[in-house]
Formats: sequence, structure tokens, C-alpha cells
Amino acid sequence: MSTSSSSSKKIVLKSADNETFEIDEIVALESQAIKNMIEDECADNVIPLGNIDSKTLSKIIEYCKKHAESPKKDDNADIDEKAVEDLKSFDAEFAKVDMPLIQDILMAANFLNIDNLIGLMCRTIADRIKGKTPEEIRKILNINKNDLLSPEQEAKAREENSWAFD
Amino acid sequence: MFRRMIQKRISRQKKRPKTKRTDERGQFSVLTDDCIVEILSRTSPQDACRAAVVCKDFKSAADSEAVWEKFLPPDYKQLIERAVSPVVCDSKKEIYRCLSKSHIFLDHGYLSFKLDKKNGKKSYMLGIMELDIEGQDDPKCWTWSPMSRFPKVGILEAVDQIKIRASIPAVLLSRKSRYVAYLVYRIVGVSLDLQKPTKRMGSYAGREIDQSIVYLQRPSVHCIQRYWQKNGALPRKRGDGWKEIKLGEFYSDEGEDGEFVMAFEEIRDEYDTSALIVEGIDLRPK
Repeated sequence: MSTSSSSSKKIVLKSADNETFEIDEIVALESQAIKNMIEDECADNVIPLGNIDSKTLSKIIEYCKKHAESPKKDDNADIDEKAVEDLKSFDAEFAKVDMPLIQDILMAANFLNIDNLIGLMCRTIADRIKGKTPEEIRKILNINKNDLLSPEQEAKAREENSWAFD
Repeated sequence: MFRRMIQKRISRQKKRPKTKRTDERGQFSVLTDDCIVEILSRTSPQDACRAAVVCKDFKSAADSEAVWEKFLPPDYKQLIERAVSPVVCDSKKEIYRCLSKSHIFLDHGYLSFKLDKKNGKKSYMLGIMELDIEGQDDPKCWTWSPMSRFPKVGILEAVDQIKIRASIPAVLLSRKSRYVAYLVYRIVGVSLDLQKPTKRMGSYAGREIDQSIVYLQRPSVHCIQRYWQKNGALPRKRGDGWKEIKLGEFYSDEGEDGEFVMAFEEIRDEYDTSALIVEGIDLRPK
């Protein structure tokens, strides 16, 4: 089950800050985008990822390694419950990072098309903004001032959505 | 070049809007509209309404069909089709608002449903026509009541036995939810008889899940009152002027195809002149 066997095919990913990461092909295949590229045979050994920095990329590789090692849900009907629990607690630990990194991971996962990771990051952000006021959400997500609604639009939006709190 | 290739593949698989990355790290504008929709669908209706005020991108996601589709129950379309008066709304958010505002009457007007505003869970009320009351299956015995949401209610007087039974298919209920069923009623006239303990029952798929004692009227002895209050066996006043007594509690799991049965039984004294007016059975998620 180990992915570090020397016989397996290697793929090298290069981050925006020119750091290279050598990983097993099976780990890279967690990304649907890279998988398609490999299947279309348009991938060399080095795949440059010009919009993902090394910190984000190493986190993503950590995630893909763990998920590549774990038995897939659709492989077999009787999955080891322990493995499922293990993956759950890995995901929970994995998501314990600061918000800027979560957003970077989400954006990168979106780009690399890693569905499970997109889901995990969206769920994490959702959990952090649940029950919060709009002002708190802006602070948590560090929303750019230019993206805010105008005072008139904001007043209108508040009015339109007040029914949910009657 | 490879990056271009990846992007091409992605755009072929699924149309995703361009990433709106700003130079400043951690600014929220890096997230695509799809991501914001995904995030908001994992919150709650109230959270989505709060999020609508956060910024422009959140506003459009918080009004989107995709987010509100997730909050609506999967069978909302079938339920709306059964509505007595048509539910007309131009967006899914508007439908949610409408269904969570007040009860929507279905079929013949004796079954109503409403969504819990906070979590989208369904609650139902079954009127007299949906109940099986012994000796009361003749609509001529039913009466109009200005206090009722339903066209008619049932009046039980001068009967020596009260037997009420109702059932609801499990598929109509929200999944993974605990439901409590209440008998909604009023008592007209003074009744010592109804101060006596009486029997409630609940079952699911033929299996009994609850059988215990309840009081339709509070017993006059204080210490008995305190004991039964604790056990949820005493009636409670509702906001609409009716009283309710808990009939049973059950868990609606995923993918059940059975039905829940709620029942109530009482032997009455023939000299009692009071009348029991039954509005229906209220089923609410806990």
C-alpha cells in the first residue's frame, strides 16, 4: 500500500516560487486536472503550477498522499470502518489552519480539480462563518473594501433578508 | 504551457468562472462564485440571509437558485403541486420564504405543512379528515370553528369511548429528524371525567414505540400535576388558543418506507356532559 515504493512512476510539481516536489503518480492522480493531462499524454515529468505557492502546494500534496493511500469508497462495499474514521480525523486536523491558507488551498484545489478537498475547504469556511454577523464574516474572510455593497444596496439587502429573523 | 493545458481541461470538464485572484494574499476575492455557492450551501438559511449583506459576490450567491435548492426539502415540488391554492414564486429563495412563513394546505385542505425557517425541516398538521376517529367518519358530524385553520373540526360529546388514530408515511417527513406528535383539542364545559388519566400510543411499521398515560385536562391535585408535568403528560396551551398533548415521539431515519401511527384512546363516563373538540394532530420536528 505504500506509495513511496521506488518502482512507481514519479511526477514532479513545480510551485510558483520554483520549488519542486517529487511525488508518486498515484498521488498526483487525486487531481482530476493532472489525471486528464497524464491520460492525454501531454504531461512531462515536471508540471509547473504557476499560481500555487510552495506552502499551499505542500499542504495539497500532504492531503493527496493521505487520500491516495486510503481505500476508495467506490472500490469495495465493505470498507474498513477504521480507515474511514482515520481519514475523517486526518481531514479535521488538516483543516486546522488559518483562513488565508484555507482560501489559497481552496483556490488551488479548484484549479487542480480535487473534489474532496474543495468540499472539505468549503465546509471549513462554512463552519467558521455560521452564526456570525456580516461584519464578523468580513473580518474572518478579510473581504476587500472595494467588494462591499454601497450603503444603499446594503440597506436594501438587509431589508430583503429580514424575514429570516422575524 | 502545461498550465494552459490544465486550464483547457478544466474548462472542458466544467464551466468555472475565472479565478479572481488579487495580488494581496488572503483577500476573499480570490474565491470563485462557484466556491461561494458551495460554502453558503453548507450553512443554514439564516446564515445565507446574513451573508447577503457581506459583499457583492456573497449577495449574488446568497440569492442563487443553487443555494436555496439545497435548503428546500428534496420533495418540495411534489408538495407544492398538492397545494390547495397555487404557490407562485419567481425564485427558490422566495419559495423557501413562502413555505416557512405559514402553513400550506394540501389535497382537500385537511393536511397542511410548513418548513422550519431555521433548518428547512417539515412540520405537518393533520385535520379531522386525515384522522380516523371512531364514530366520527361522517362529515355531517363535523363543525366549522372560527378558531381552526381547517374548514371543519370534530366534536365528540356523549360518547362512551374516544378512539383517535392517524398515520403518516415516513417519506413525507424530513430525514434524520426526531418528530413529536401532538393532539390539538379544546374542551367545552366542565369535565371531571377528562381529568382522569388516559392512554396514548405510538407505533412505527407495526412496532409499538410508545404507550403511556396522559391527561387531557390537568388533574386538580397539585402533587399529581407536578409528577405528570415532568413526564410530559399534561396538556399545554398553544399560541392559537387550542391545547395540545403529546402523543408520541419518533425518529425519522433515512430512506424509510413505513408509516408512523399515532393513537389516543379514552373510556368516558356517560354522565359527563363536556365536549372534546378535536382540531387535529400536529407533527413537529424536535
